[in-house]
Amino acid sequence: MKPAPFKYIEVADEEALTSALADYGDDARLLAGGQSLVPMMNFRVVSPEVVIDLNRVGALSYIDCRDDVCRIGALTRHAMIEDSDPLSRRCALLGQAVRNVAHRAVRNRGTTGGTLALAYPGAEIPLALMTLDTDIILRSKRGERRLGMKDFVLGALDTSLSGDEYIRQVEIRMPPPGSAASFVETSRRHGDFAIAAAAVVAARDDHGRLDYLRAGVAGGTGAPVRLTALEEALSGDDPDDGRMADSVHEAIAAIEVFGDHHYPEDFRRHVLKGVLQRALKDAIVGSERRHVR
Amino acid sequence: MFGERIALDLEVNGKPLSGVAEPRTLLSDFLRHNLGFTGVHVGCEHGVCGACTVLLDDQPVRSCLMFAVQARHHSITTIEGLAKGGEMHPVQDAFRRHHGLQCGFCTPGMVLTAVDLIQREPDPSERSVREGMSGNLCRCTGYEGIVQAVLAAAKDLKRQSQSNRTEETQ
Repeated sequence: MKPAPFKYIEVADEEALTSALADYGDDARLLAGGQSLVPMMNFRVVSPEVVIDLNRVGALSYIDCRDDVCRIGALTRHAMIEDSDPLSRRCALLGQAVRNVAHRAVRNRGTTGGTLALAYPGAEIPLALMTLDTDIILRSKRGERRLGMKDFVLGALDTSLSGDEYIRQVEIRMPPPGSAASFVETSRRHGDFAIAAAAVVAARDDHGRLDYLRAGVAGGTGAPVRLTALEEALSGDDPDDGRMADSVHEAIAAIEVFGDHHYPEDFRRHVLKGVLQRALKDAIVGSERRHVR
Repeated sequence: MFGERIALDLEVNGKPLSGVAEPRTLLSDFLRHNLGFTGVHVGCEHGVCGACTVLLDDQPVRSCLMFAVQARHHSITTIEGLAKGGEMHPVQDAFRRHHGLQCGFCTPGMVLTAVDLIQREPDPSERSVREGMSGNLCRCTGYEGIVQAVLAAAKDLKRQSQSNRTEETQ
């Protein structure tokens, strides 16, 4: 339960980070919060030759909400998101998701960039970001590029990050005012990764019709999945229970779900439907209440 | 790479200390073995049990999920730093009164987690205490006493800060 030896490089700014990645690339692992990397190193699941510690790159730690966009630096700790007033006001989904991430002691270290780079299938923040309209900004010596979440997370533990790149920033386009969010998760114990989780944000136009609906699920799905067909099917007039149940059934039937010896595929699909239906109801009812007021 | 050792300065329980560690040395091991803070209990070594919890710049963290070199120029509080002038911290005292420990292995992590929980939420409900403490495991399963102790400590600390305020205004 002790990590194998490695060469430790601590960088103090983005320039040094970019050069260190250019020099060591695939042999190196970036150490941000370390809440997944260090246990993996303790178990020797990974034994990187070089560890590049970016915890002193203060310029990557910020939450900046302006107009319709919130920008979150890659080194922003989960606890900062949990405690952020602008985010909980304008992007309640992320605040709800982050409260399901492990425990406070882990959230004090774990970072936005770290959870994205790992892309663990049951992780909450990637699901919230996949459900909202989010871009990820990546940087390397070769330059900067911007990817939508869908092009960034490719599958379980699989992303578009190259060996010499790091995640710089996450950009979320805010849901419209009056929206309601719901994040529903089933896990074995509080703080565990999700067996299944669903994220929904709903908002209404002036006539009270659902004109903004975002829905996503994770857990047994590889990458988190945005359910665009369901969003279209349920927009407009409020769905009754029958129409909602049918859409949920179709949406979960259409996605790829993996089973394992703890949770077989049909069990996961069953739980996915349950959490999705609850999140849809919460968000749709919540947005109604806001419209009336 | 083998044998590389890095000198580090840090503050533990208000005192500046220094030491030397390999990059791979976990903060938990460094605090226990190099600096002698044996109140840092090492349980699972993958961030699940919470026994090794310490305060890093007043925030609880798992010391088994940090390398010692990362604590350079930070201030750390271990369980040894809570009692002041021979007086137990109110959270420690509440754990004693409410039978919040049996074997005591999980206790340092429990107490430090509770100190932060009460600081962030001075008047916690039982539900939020259970949720806030759920990242710390007690294998004696003495959770009832632990929850009662944290609730009582929150009340004690509130009373204490209120009476301090009254004294100040008098």
